[in-house]
Amino acid sequence: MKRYLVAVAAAGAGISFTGVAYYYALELMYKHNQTGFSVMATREFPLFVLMAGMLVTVLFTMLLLSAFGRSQQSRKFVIERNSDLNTLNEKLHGELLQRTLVENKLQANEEKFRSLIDNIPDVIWTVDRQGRVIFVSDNIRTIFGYAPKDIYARPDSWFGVIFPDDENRVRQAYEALFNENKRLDIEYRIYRPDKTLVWLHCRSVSTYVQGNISYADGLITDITERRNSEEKFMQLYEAVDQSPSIVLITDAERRIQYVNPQFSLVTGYSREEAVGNTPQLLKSGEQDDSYYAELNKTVTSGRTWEGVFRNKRKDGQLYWEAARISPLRNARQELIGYIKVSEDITERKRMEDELKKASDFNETIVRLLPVGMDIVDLQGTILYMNQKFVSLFGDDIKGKHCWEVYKDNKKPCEDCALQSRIEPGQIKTIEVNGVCGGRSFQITHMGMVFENKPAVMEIFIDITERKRLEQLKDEFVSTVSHELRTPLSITKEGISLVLDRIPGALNQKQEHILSTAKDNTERLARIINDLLDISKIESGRVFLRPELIDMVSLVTKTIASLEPMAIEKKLQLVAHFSQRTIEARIDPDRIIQVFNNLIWNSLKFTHKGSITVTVNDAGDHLDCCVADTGIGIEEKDLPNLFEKFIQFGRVEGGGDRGTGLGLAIVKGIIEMHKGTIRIESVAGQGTKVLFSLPKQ
Amino acid sequence: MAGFKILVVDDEADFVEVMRTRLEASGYEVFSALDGATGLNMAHTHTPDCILLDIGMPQMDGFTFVTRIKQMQELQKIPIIIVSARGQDMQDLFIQEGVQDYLVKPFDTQKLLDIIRTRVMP
Repeated sequence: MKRYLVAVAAAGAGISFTGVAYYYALELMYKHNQTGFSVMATREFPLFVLMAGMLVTVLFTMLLLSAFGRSQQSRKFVIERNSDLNTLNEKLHGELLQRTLVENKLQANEEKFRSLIDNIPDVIWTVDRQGRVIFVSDNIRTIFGYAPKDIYARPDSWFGVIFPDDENRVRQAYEALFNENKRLDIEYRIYRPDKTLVWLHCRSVSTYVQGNISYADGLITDITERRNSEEKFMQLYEAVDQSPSIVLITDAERRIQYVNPQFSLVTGYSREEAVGNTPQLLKSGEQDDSYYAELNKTVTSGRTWEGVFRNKRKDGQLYWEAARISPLRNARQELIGYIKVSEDITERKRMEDELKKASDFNETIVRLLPVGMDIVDLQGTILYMNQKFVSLFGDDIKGKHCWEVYKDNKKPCEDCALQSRIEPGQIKTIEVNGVCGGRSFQITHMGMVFENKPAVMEIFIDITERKRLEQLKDEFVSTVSHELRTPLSITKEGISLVLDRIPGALNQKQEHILSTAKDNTERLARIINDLLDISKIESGRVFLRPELIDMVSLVTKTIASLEPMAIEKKLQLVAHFSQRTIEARIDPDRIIQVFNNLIWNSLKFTHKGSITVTVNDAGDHLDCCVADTGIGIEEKDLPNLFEKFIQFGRVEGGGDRGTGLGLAIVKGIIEMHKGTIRIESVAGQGTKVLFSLPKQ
Repeated sequence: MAGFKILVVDDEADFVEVMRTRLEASGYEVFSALDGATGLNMAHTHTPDCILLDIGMPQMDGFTFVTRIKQMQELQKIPIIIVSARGQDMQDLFIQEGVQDYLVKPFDTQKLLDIIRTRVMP
């Protein structure tokens, strides 16, 4: 359209030009006519001009039209290019801006990156294929305990610090990273310079090559704490899993989330069967709902419930379970479930029941025992008493010592057993007179533990009657013995008078018979003396008369008095002493009796060889021995040697016969001196009687 | 041992009899009493050189006999030998009264004779 408007305008302009040119041609012709112009000054000239003008107009218009068309095209191109250039420019400008921004950002990023590298708690590293450290972030100080420069300085620093057990594994992982481009993701331990172990988690994705050298970048994280807590957790888990207790954990809706193997062992339900179920699975129905309601009330209020369940196993069997149920809460204190830790106490309960029955039984026996019994603490305060005790001494015992309850004089016994501590199981028996209105009691004290404290059980046996009988026996023995002694002495003296031929001559046979009679009166006298002695020793009526005595002269004199008998039997009777004088505080008459009895026994049972008496000073006591080379004693007889009226190896026929009381009296006398006695003997080889006597 | 007088005080007549025989055979002059009171009188009458004394006797026992005789100036020095069927349980009491010799029946006759001899010999 524009083109046509241009063409019309060009045509218009051409016509106007033509018109203007025709006008000026007419005028020019007019002028030339006046001046004489000749060539053109014809009538055809204006037409020519008009036609030339027309031609010029057409040509011009055509030219103009064509030029106009061409210029329109160029102009469009230019505009387009211009716009392109503008866009490009804008883009360039934008990119430039962008680049500046990026550059700024990069710089900021790099700073940020540096600060990041320095601030993240991990170590960023670059190592080459040989394990040489190219770069490590500064944080390596914290984790490894070495400064980066130390790491760079040591070629073996990367693998050299690894805990020996882990080193191969780590090296293999690096090989795989560099050779097979396998991701590195490994946990291992290193030694810090202070020899502490640190757990590391080391990661690297891949390797890259720069100038023919392979490198890997990576990250190391200190996971010591995590590993430790993992270990702790694993330990805890193991502990729970291996626990001999039943452990059951539910979620807040009481669906079972976990049971340990012990649960399965006790209930018969596998973990798979239990998980997802509720603990109702085990309910036996033997305990009523209120019991469970109480349990619910306790745990929902956040407290721990403790109690006993009568539960049912998978096979239907019932069992007793002592349980503790506690709510479980997370860090935000929200209820996340419940944990039950329990024990199968079926067997324990059965034993307890049996024990209870037994204990009730024992209690009944003790209570009804026809013997008085009490339990006192170590100060003598009564803690328990049985019925018989109450019937003997009454029940007014509050805050009283035992002696205030049973002793007539309300004072402790002279040889009060509580004065020396009686260990549990130890027994000490005393006899106490003046109990319960002049009666005598044997009180047996036995150390024990009562209500978790050391205590003493006292058992009271009324020995009044026994004592009376003993006294009667003693009196009887004493009286009979005394009454026997006078006629015996008359008989003996009578025989002696006849034997001494005071009334007149005797023939040999008469003398022999009378000698035998005299020997037997002497034997009878010994029996009476021994009987009286043992009777007195047993009833504690022998009172020692200790004196400071030289044992050497005492033994020497005793031996001398028995020498004739030794000579008669062709036996050697010798004594050995450790010192020239050995002093000891003893009752000389009684100790003479001891040596007399022992040497006499040896003389009796030794037919060849010797009898050796030894007295050695052993510091605070004397070691004495009477040894012979006699017939000895059978091993089976040794334990009974000290019993009354026991005689072994009695010589067949003739000779002096013993009373069977000698050793019992010896033992009694030694023990009254607080000494000890024992016998060693080998049948056919001889006998040794060894005794010790305290010097004071 | 002619000339020495021995007083035997014992309630057992048979004992006194054998003692008399034995002592007289040894040359002593023997007096005897069967109870303490008579014995004390005999001691007054005969002033013996030695007294053999039993303990358990009627009228007056041996211990009372000793305490009495020890109060008598003219008799208190006479040696007394206790010859008793009782054991040694009373020996201490007699020692306290100054009586050292104490024999328990049946005793060794020779031992008795030895003691008497040492006591009567000045």
